[in-house]
Amino acid sequence: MAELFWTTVGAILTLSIYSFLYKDNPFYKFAEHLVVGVSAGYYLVIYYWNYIDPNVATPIFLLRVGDESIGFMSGQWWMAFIPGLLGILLYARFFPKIAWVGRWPLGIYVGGYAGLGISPVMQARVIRQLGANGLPLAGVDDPMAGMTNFALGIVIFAVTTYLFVVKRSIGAGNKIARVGAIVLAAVIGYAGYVVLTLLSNAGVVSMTNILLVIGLLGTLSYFFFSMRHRGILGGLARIGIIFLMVGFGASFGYTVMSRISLLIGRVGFLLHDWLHLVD
Amino acid sequence: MRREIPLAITFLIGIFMLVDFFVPHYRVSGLAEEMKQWGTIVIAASILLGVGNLIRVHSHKIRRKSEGWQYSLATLAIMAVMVGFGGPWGTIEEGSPFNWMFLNMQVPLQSTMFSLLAFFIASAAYRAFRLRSAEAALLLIAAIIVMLGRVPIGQWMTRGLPEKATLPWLTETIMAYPNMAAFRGILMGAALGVMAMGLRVILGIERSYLGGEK
Amino acid sequence: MKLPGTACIAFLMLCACAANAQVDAVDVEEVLSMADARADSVPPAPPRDLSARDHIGDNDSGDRISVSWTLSPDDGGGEADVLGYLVMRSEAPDARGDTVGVVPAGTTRLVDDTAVPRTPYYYHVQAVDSVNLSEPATFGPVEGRSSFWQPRRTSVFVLMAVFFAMVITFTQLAQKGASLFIRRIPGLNAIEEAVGRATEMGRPVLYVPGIGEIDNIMTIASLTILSHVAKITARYETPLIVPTARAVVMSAAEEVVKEAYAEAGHPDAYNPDNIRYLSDAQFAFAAAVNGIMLREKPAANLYLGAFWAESLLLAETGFEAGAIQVAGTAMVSQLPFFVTACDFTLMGEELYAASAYLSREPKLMGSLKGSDWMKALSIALMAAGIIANIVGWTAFVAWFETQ
Repeated sequence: MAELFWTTVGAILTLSIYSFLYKDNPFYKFAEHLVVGVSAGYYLVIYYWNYIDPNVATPIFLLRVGDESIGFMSGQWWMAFIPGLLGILLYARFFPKIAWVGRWPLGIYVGGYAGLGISPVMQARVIRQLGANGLPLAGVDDPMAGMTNFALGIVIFAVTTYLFVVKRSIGAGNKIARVGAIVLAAVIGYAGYVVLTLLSNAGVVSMTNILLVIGLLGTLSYFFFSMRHRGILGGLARIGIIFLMVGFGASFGYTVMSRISLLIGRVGFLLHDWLHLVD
Repeated sequence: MRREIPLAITFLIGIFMLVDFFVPHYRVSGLAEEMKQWGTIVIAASILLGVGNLIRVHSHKIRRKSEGWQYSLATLAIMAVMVGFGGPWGTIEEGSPFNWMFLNMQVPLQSTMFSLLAFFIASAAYRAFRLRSAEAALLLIAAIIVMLGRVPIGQWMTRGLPEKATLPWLTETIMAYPNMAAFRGILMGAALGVMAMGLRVILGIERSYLGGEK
Repeated sequence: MKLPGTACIAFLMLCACAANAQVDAVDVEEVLSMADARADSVPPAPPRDLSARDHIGDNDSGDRISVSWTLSPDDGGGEADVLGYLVMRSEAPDARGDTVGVVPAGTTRLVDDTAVPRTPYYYHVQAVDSVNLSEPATFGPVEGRSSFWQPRRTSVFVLMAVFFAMVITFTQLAQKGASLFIRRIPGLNAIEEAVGRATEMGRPVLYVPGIGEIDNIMTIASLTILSHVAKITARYETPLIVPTARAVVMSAAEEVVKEAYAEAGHPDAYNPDNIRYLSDAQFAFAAAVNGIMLREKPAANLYLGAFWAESLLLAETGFEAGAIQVAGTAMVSQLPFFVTACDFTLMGEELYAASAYLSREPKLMGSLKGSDWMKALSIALMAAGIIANIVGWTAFVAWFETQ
């Protein structure tokens, strides 16, 4: 019985949140204010009983860490007292005369974590990536070669078409000449694809590794703030933003399925756990 | 003096933590671990600041009877109930009223909000169809390819083609190569930004987190 | 010493359980199945090139020693009957000593983490087949010590030192009055325009500093930009609402905004009820911010800081509410959503460059320049790595491998 009550409460709250999709209404407002209140109470209690009590209050006042006793003013006692003191100092901000002392805990916390974060970030995001990107540009077994070369063939076709038809205006006014130019561009594109494939298979060139190198070069150029994006830097930056957009699109597409499965989960709760309509 | 002490503390502790990465000696590592623990405790202690702010803002609303004050009353009331159930004696184990309220109110509300993303991601994608620029077109095309490549329909759509022209293969390629190249670059740039900023914090040049200049 | 096959294996298993050393999981079935009970009277050849040295790892109290060797000739070749290696440790060169561990065939190292610091040890390694033990290979003396430097992280140190030197150099240059150029960043100009738009419409500005904690560098960057935004809203007396998800971030934001209003000459316009702590819970926060968007109807939404999955919830609701939105984050996983839903997005490092860009303070410009040239150096190093690989000088890229 109690379970049905609580499941119904959960279901009503769930539906209240979904009503938000239609428009703001009292049910949603109530659910929103409820979750804010519940989580505030929850974190207040949890932070005290799971963090402050075992690590600060019990050692300082009850002289106990876990099941062991510790001495007053012993090393372990100080290890509990200092953070407790820092925590209390945070509240000094309410007393104008000593408000400045309230900055100390923040200074320690932020400074400490700033120092902590710097080196691992350098290691993981810069050094490792440089090591991984100093890739051999040639002679590598390239599993994605077919796709890359095909795509590059298309790029060559597109660029050649652009050059012929737009830049040089070949066959302007003569439809047949124009079509001929496009066909020629397609042939050139296909030839490019064939050449690249031969080179890849012979292990002379690894197009995907070249792609990775150009990608990194492009994105780093995009984030270069010291010069205007003109000339070569501008071209590289353009390539960079193209890579970024493809990457963002891929992330976007990748996430869609996981978000939809969340929805399926909630609908499953409503139909299965609450209404028992489905198995 | 008032400004210098926290900056000096920041500097010393920052340098110590930085050095901890390179010095494996157990005394250094041990102390660094302790200090990381202190950080979590300080943050836990700060919760009362936040709750205090919440109480103040909502009680002002109730007192002034501004629009929606009844909801503020609900917030404060339910918070008091939660604290009452769990607070004084630490009765937070499974089966307690505190835990019940968490499982039956907070969890469903949070999961439902999370699931709203399914709708929002659809509306965001739909709006992206209004191609604002060539770059947006690229984003959209890549998104569609990867989306289709990850579901059975994508496999079905291109089932007859050679392996390297099928959607799932294309998806894999995109995820492996341009995706990786782009993210390496942006993460590397961001990493340099983080390090420069971290250095500024340690040296005391960046002081925004301390609040006012005084 | 000859023992029947399975008894030998059982003995090895017991040793593996008794010793407290790092041992790769030995598949009992696999080993027993190999214990062909055919009598084998030829012991395997011992492992070669045995060496041991102090192991330098995190939290080093000198209790770890790394023992390594090359495979016995009968392991995978020769008689091909080696099942594993038995590693023993003694304090005198000729004593048998205690077992440290047993590893399967094909392994060439073991880390002994039960060593007593500063005690000289001798290590003996024997190859084992189903029936016999090889002659022991011995190495010693070697001591465990607590080290003061992790040599495999030297490359990190060197590059970091170079980077910091660049930052400090450019900072000095900037302070001496050299003018440093930074290109236009559209997203940052958009922030000021958005605030202007809100002022014109007489509606508030909503500034969400992310849900990261104050130690998150993105949050710190956000607070710097908040100071700048607050000065503008103070001047035009536009309401500025700052919802936060962390108590400490809230109190820092309070101080930042109050200070900015005082500096702009409008201390009375500061409304403390507009800097609100909502919830530590991610989606409760998002729900409450959505409520603010729908009811208080801000005309400009600024999302600057660390965001996780709730990013799209905020951005889409803001869009539906008709606000102009500028986002900035280095959370690469959330950038796609901000890019699709917001009018301008500051990506990655652009967020960190913001503090220099908006204030034009020499110290900040200097460090931005330092980062820029570090990027140039990185490109050069990558090119060098590629060339090194082409000419076959693999040591260059290997130096970048860190632990």
